[in-house]
Amino acid sequence: MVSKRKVVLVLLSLMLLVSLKIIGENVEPREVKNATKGDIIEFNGLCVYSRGEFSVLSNGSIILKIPRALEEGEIYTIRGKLLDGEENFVHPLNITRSSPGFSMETLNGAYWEEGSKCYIFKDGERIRLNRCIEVQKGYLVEMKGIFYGDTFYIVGFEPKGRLEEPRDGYPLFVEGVVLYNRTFLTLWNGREEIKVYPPYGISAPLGARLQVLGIARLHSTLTIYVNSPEDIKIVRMAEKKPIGRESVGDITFGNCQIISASTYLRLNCTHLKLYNGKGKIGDILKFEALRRKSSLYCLKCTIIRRREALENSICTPKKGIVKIEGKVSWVKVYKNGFGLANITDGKCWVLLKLRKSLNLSLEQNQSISAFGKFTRYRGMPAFEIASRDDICLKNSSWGSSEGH
Amino acid sequence: MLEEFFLGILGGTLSGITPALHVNTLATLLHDISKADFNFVFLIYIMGLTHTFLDAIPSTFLGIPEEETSLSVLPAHRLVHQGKGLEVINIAITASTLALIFALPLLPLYLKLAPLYKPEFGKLFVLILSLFLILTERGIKKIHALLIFMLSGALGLMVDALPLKEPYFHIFVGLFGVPALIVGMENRKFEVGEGEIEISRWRILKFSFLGTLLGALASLLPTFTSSQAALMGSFLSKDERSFLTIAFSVNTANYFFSMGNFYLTGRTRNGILALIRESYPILSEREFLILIFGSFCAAALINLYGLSLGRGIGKALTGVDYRKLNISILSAVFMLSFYFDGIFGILTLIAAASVGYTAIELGVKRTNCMGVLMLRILIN
Repeated sequence: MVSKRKVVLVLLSLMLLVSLKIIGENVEPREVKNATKGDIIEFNGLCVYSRGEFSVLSNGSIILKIPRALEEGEIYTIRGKLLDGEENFVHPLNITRSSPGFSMETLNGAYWEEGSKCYIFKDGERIRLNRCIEVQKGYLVEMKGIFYGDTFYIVGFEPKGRLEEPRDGYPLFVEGVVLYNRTFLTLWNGREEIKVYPPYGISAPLGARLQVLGIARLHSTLTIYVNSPEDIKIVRMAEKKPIGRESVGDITFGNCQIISASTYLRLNCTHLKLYNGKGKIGDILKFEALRRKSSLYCLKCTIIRRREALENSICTPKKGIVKIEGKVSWVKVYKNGFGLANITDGKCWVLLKLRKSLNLSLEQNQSISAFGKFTRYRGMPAFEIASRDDICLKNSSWGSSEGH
Repeated sequence: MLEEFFLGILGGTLSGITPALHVNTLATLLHDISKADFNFVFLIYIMGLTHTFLDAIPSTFLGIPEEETSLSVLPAHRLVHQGKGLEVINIAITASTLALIFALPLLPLYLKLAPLYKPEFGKLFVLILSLFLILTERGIKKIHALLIFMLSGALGLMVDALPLKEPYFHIFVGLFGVPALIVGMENRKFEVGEGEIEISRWRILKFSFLGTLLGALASLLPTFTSSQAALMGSFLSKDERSFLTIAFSVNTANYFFSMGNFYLTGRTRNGILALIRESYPILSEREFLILIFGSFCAAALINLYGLSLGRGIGKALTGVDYRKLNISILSAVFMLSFYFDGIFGILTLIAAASVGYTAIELGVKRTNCMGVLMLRILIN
């Protein structure tokens, strides 16, 4: 039998325990900074670390350690007992998710992702973030949160659009046409040339319109360092425009005659030099070329009409590069090395100027073809060629034999 | 280092014989004024070890236990009333010494097991122990045991929500000390006795070995405390002396093995090691060997004076009227409780004493009061 005394004792114990419970629930919590070991505290903070059954909360100035698994990046209000005043180790009594009740820092910068890690660029400094957010890489963002160590823990953020003007050390998005593709790319964005250093092994064809995202450096030219292949996208090829209507960064096209040929070509349709093209004076070139700042670069060039196919213009002199054919009726060489050869074809004749630098000697009755332009010599009709390659001697080993 | 050794012995003796002065408190004071070097580590380690040899003195004569001695306070008190107080002290010193001796050859095996520990082990162990504790009562007492276990457990949970700086003082003194003092008022006999251990050498060796194994287990599993290890020992012993042998050897073995665990894994299993880790996180092999050697030197020294110290304290108390002594101790306990935590401390002490006294009245094993720690472990 259970005696009355025992029942009373059990009830007394229960009553005392209930009293302790009520007292415990009504204890006014202290602020962590004023609390000592054993005090009941209440703390509102962000979970900045959680591994296994151990988490760390911070409100930006105070750090609290808790033997519970919490979710990193979430805000909690903890009521608990301070077990260690120096380490701020707390035995939690009540944990609730809540909104921030602490002052936060605001960071304005450009959002950045690299591998699985995310950053914000601010005043030339790269700050690590605790998590990645749904903002496009390189875009401006305003973040609210707190620092824990050297990591910024995000509580809230607001995208602020794209950075339009380049700032040193900040991410920059540019779009432009590839003018040069050497160890680095040179892009034309419509206003200026931009150097782009792509990741190892990545390049882009000339004339391609690219979208590039990288870190800008303001050297003598705007330079962009790209760290991920995904940050270079070919949008399309540059716009095509007929020769004469093009501007820098366009691809221009046309059929023109070569009027000069050396390491570059000069054409009769533009004053710009054409690089990367091959042909001879007088050839008709069909080309697609990239317009650079002060030249053209041949992307696709073919000779559509060789100069040999030109008609003999000895009887019908005209401007531009023409072909003359005929026989050498006489040759005269002055003491200074300059010479003249009279080329005749039927009743038509013209004096062929033989500059000393051509190092060319002709003989009477030789048949020749020459490519050059009409000029005058002491009031008489004359013809001049640019180089010895532009004359073809028949029945002779002199001069160029190409085209024969 | 010799200076630190003797200071450690002195500090441990002081904290050991002073009721309610925990060695961690003294070590914390020293920590604040000492340099963070190995000499300090050596000092507080020896101090903690000495404390485990001598903390039986206040719990035996005055009935004021700490967590580690909470279960031994009752059988020890019973022997005091039979005029065998000094025997309890002798058992404490002998069992602690034997625990060190047995622990040494077990250390290599322990060092292999320590890194294998997983937190789940401790919880499972506590669950088994709780079931065992309740189900070993007979008949209706199973219900009573469950009631005490739950009341104690609830006490443990309630105390968490109170602003208490020394919660374990109020809990353990309340659950085990105060009821023993109240019950002991009826008994007027207080004799120190001769100190001769009245169980066979074989049994003291056997139970010390068992206590050493349980102490090793307690140092491995953080949820499994010295008092719970002693509780396990209570199932394996049939009389007070056997139980006390287990309980005291558990206490010292736990302390010694915890140092091995710290050396190997960096885990801290008691307040002293937590302080050591703060100022000296990694022990070298040489330093570990120095601590082992220091442990045996300290044990040898304590064996020289421990019993005499116990006799001196016991005799000093012999002339005092036991009823008056108990009332004085009770008053001191309440004053200390108030000193530590004010009115909250007093309330906790009364609630704990009420649960502890109810356990006596219901006639169940007082070990069921260990629900104060176990229920919380099981719930969390």
